[in-house]
Amino acid sequence: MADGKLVLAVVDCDAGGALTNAGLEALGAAAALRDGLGWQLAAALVAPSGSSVPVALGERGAARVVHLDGPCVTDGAALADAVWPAVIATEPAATVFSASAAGREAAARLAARTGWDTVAGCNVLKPANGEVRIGRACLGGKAQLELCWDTVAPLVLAVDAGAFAPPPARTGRQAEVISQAAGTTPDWAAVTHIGETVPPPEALDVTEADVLVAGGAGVGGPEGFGLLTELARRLGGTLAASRVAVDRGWAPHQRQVGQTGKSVSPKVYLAFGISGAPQHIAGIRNAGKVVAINQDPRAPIFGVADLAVVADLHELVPALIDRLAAARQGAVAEKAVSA
Amino acid sequence: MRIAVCVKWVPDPDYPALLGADGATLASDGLVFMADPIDMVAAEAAVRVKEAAGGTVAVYSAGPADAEKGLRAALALGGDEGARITLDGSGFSGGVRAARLLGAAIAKTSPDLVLCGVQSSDSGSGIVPAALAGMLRLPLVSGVVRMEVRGGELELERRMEGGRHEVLRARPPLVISVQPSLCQPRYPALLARRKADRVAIQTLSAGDLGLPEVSSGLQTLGLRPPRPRTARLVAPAPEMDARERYRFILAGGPAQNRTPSRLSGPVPAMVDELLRFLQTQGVATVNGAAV
Ligand SMILES: Cc1cc2nc3c(=O)[nH]c(=O)nc-3n(C[C@H](O)[C@H](O)[C@H](O)COP(=O)(O)OP(=O)(O)OC[C@H]3O[C@@H](n4cnc5c(N)ncnc54)[C@H](O)[C@@H]3O)c2cc1C
Repeated sequence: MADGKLVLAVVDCDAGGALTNAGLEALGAAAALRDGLGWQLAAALVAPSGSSVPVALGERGAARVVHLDGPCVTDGAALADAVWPAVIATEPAATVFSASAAGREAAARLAARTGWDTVAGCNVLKPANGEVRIGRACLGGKAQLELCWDTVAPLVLAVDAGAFAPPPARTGRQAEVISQAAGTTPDWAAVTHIGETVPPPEALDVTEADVLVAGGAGVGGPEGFGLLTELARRLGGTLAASRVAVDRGWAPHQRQVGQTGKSVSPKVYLAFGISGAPQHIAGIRNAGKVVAINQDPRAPIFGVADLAVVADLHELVPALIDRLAAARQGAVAEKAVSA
Repeated sequence: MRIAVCVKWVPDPDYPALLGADGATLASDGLVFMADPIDMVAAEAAVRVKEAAGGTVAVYSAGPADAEKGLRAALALGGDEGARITLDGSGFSGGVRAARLLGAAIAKTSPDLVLCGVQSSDSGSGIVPAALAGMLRLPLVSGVVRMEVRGGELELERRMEGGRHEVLRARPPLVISVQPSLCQPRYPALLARRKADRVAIQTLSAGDLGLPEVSSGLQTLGLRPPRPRTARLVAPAPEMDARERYRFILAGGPAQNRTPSRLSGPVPAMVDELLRFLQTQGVATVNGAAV
């Protein structure tokens, strides 16, 4: 506690009151500030009385734990109001929220309430000489923004998922636990939950799907696109297309990916018979993994692919579908046997 | 319904040479600025609500003088009023500040609905919607992909993790942040653009809104090339002893088969490899079980 300052981690719990990994990552980010600046580490959580989480947070290195006694919250507005008494009680120099939807919303609401500067999606924290270098992604992931915090004006942070490791637990370490009532939120009766739907993958917009099966001129015609649609369905994804394929009427224009189409960010992008023109690549910069299937080993698309499959798609696509269909039948048969 | 829409003035996100050769500075010449495409989606959605339920659409931007052009682009979709709150500096740093300025200006008109994009295409911190909701003490429904007027209420569908969609019924006033897939902004007719050019846009300063200048502890150092995608390391199980942990970490977590990056050869073998790769990405499962 070099200058008596404190960093407060707001640790989320799930609806059942259990610690979440996102919450522990927020504690990990706060611990990095403690280690680099010599501050005290405090943690705040909202949980019903009798929760074992305060003890767990002590074991993970929190010196103080503010246990806000109240029902579990998973909503950002409710979380921001619930932890407010902990902010008053600890007067943190920095308040760290998790990457969960609730954590990010609560961070911004705290910022609005206090006027404190805020960095959301923080993925780098480098404390040194009483300052902190902070990084986060911007421009849709095309660049990293670097900031410097003077540690004088209070700051609110929301961390990026997976950027900070949960601090290790050591049994026997104990925190000073303070219990107080959680702050309450005006009742937002205005918003009521009606239900949840899992839309069929093929109905998803190309910007929404986790898996995209994209076809280009090499697919050769509507029959080929019929097979790609079938493959997309079996992979839980949806169909996308290059401009040439759209221009030839093989796929509707909302399915076009690229400079004049849509920018997509699926976890996996499978490109069948697409050469990889810069105007097409422009739309898949934020894709997670790119799998390219092309019979030309020199196709430019291979330059951006994580997996390059040099093959004739007219052989590969039916074989893939057969294999997935067979596996599915196998699974159904297995289920019938075990039932 | 009184509807407010926030429109940010940003560098064209699809401009091919957005970043300089070093990959770390915004290109200086030829860079085109525009109304953020996601905010245009919000503006289009606002106009559709107005068309269905009646009311007015007011557009707001916190930014430099040029941001008025973005406001006019949004007005051309069918808006009625515009206000710009002066905010200098890069669009990368001021999420909270922008939200406070926008919130103070919007609060004066007590709108029923406040619409904005989930995150700007340049800074992309996604602070503004929730900070606005905080300023206005309103609920926020974020990430909306479908919006329909049902009497005096809205039926909303929003996207959550894992492809699930939540359906909500909401009674105004509230703040809504939208996803790009919500709707496609119309192409405004010449007449609509002319009309938008004649709308008087109000200019407001922080002082006009009674907001004090706050000193910031944050300084923007600049852009850097993006960080390489970090490999996710799975935490070793707590019951492992020190040596086991050490080995686990050095091995890069649980056994990882590195897939060859290039496949060729007989089709059945390629199919196997391809499906194996997809499985490592969590794709190609049947009834939740691996194929
Ligand atoms: C201003 C402008 C904007 C543009 N915007 C877009 C855009 O938004 N999106 C877009 O996609 N394009 C866009 N384009 C067009 C772009 O330049 C390319 O022409 C287009 O992307 C090429 O489409 P393709 O890859 O499907 O076709 P091609 O370039 O013809 O490639 C077909 C590929 O299929 C392979 N192939 C053929 N048969 C087989 C087989 N049996 N098995 C496996 N592989 C096979 C070939 O080897 C080849 O690589 C734009 C162009 C301009 C000038």
